[in-house]
Amino acid sequence: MKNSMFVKVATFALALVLAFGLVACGETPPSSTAPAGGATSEAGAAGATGAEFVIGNPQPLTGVNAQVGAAANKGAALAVKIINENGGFNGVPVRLINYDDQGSPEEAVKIATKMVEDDKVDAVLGSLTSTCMLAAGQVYEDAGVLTFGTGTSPTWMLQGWEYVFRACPNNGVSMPLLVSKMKEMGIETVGVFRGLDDAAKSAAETFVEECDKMGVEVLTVESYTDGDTDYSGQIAKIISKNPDVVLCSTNGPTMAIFAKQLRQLGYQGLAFNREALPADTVEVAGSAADHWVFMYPYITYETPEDAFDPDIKEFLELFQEEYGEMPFHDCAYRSWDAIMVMAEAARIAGTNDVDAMRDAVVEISNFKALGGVMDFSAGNGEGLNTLNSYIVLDGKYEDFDAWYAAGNYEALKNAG
Amino acid sequence: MTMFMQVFVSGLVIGCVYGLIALGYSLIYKASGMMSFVQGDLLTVGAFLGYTFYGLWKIPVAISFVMVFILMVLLGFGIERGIINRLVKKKTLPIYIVLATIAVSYILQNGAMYIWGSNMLTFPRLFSANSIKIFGVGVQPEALFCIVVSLIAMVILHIFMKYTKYGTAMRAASMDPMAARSCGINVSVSTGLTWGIAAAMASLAGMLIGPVYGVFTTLGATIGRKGFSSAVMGGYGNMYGAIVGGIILGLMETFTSGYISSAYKDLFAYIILLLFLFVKPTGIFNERAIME
Repeated sequence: MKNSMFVKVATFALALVLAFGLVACGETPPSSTAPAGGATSEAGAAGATGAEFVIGNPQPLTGVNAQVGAAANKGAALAVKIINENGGFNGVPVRLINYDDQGSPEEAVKIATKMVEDDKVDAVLGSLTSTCMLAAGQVYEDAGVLTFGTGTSPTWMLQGWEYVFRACPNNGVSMPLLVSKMKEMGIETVGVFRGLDDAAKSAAETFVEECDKMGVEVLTVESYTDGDTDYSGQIAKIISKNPDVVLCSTNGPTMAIFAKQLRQLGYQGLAFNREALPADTVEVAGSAADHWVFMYPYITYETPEDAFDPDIKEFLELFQEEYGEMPFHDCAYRSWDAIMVMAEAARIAGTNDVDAMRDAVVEISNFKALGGVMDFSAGNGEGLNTLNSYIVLDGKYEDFDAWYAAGNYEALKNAG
Repeated sequence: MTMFMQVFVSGLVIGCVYGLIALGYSLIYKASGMMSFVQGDLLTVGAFLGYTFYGLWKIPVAISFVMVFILMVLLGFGIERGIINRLVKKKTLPIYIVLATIAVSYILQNGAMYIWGSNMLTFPRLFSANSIKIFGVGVQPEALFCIVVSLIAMVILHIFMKYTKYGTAMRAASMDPMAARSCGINVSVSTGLTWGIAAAMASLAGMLIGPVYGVFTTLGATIGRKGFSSAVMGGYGNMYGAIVGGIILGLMETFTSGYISSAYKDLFAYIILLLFLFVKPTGIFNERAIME
């Protein structure tokens, strides 16, 4: 009887595993500790032998940030393809092993351990989820694995790790610049809407601290839980405080929904976002995305021709040719830049020895990437220290500084 | 006053979405005595299908809705016939059937990602107007439509279950399948049809909120959980209770986040759910099916 029950339970579990496995044959796998994207486990030893330079790439491929993780993977895969077509790292081919960390710190640590112990990776790219980087960073540090995180929270870069770098924006830098911009514009009060994950929360906290320092009054800070789709209570409270502007610090699909509800409930003023508004967010939000402002190194575009920067234009043409679509999120740029910085470090070092590459990263001070000029010479692991300002108008990204200089902010205030 | 009305109308809208999902849960329970956790992801699939027909293939909205409705009835019917019914026939413990619905839920979510990808998709507007003013509060027409559809669905389902031959047959099949069979009721088809209608209800909610929220793979995950809570609050198995429970939960959430704390709105909402379970497990409408 017991055996019969055991067989039934085991059969049920097997059926589930098979069902999930079937789905995993597609774009993304639900299993976190099995490599995604068709990579196999025997990839492991290659990193240690030097026959290949192996880069582990844990990203959230399921859950609320799945779409962002998929964009990050595409950017990384394209960079690796281009590098390999040009001789790899010092003549050694580069291979990417993708994993799904599900945006979960627990999964991130499990994957990090597996990549270090089984796959023997030489370097790690990601995760874009800052809480995962915070959890897994120590594993990479202890193992001496060259790591480039792609999350924007300041927290994980404040741990004093020597092998962990960032070649994408740091909210710890962008928030003070954003508040400074608000101060220049004469903005006195702000309402904040934020998520509870590390990146969204820490950005909002940095923003509030900077507001305190610079004399901008934060009237209210409202938050939401991942997966929520209705923010009307929070928005009603923000509007009731009558702030000059609103700051939004969110993740995943929240931004588009928040923008629509914000406009529907009657707020027509300027709204600031902590990072770039992805193209799909602008499309879904429609006219509600108009008059949203952000400071960021790069933005997503509908076509390569829309890009101002020739490097970004070239990247977008390659991306479109490879995938038949445009990157919908800037995480594609982040992954590309991180891999390219690794390539530059390998070039400077003249060897693929990880310690030599780590020392070479600090020597990089004038490397042009998609996000701007990478400069790691400060020694804090951060490579990107400049930002551009953008505003969305009629669904298009425009230069915010030019828009502001033309007196449009005053006109918008008077119209409201 | 404006803020109060904003919160009230918004709570009503999201509450009706929860209610539509809760209707599916209640219908399945009322007609088959089973518990399902798949409604939220059926909402997602319905939204994706609606996007495909209406947004991608440009089929007129009414025809798209009918096509999705029919496909979702078939999907719900197929889930019941292909998985649930087979497990029931094997005399599987009820808890495994509940687990099977959770498995189906994840398969649908990942399956949707496989078919439609992980990007957020734009579901085209159903109405030309951006916003309609109600008591001085701007509301998207689709959201208002959702309230109307929820209320109509509630009344129709109640009448269907209580006063029609098919509804009576469904309830009979749930209460005593053997007796129902001896009366000539096709219990298998009746139960399968129940799951089909519940799936169609979820897809209806998905198509109505698609233009409001966009379409993405986790669209229905949280809404599904909250729909379940709504069904319990209203009286699990009661059609009016489903909508009323949904509206109560929606109002509770929005008023908590508007006037108390946005960070802990779920805490308050689920404490109220626990209170219902302890103090009034039959829900507001005193649904006796729970006691039985």
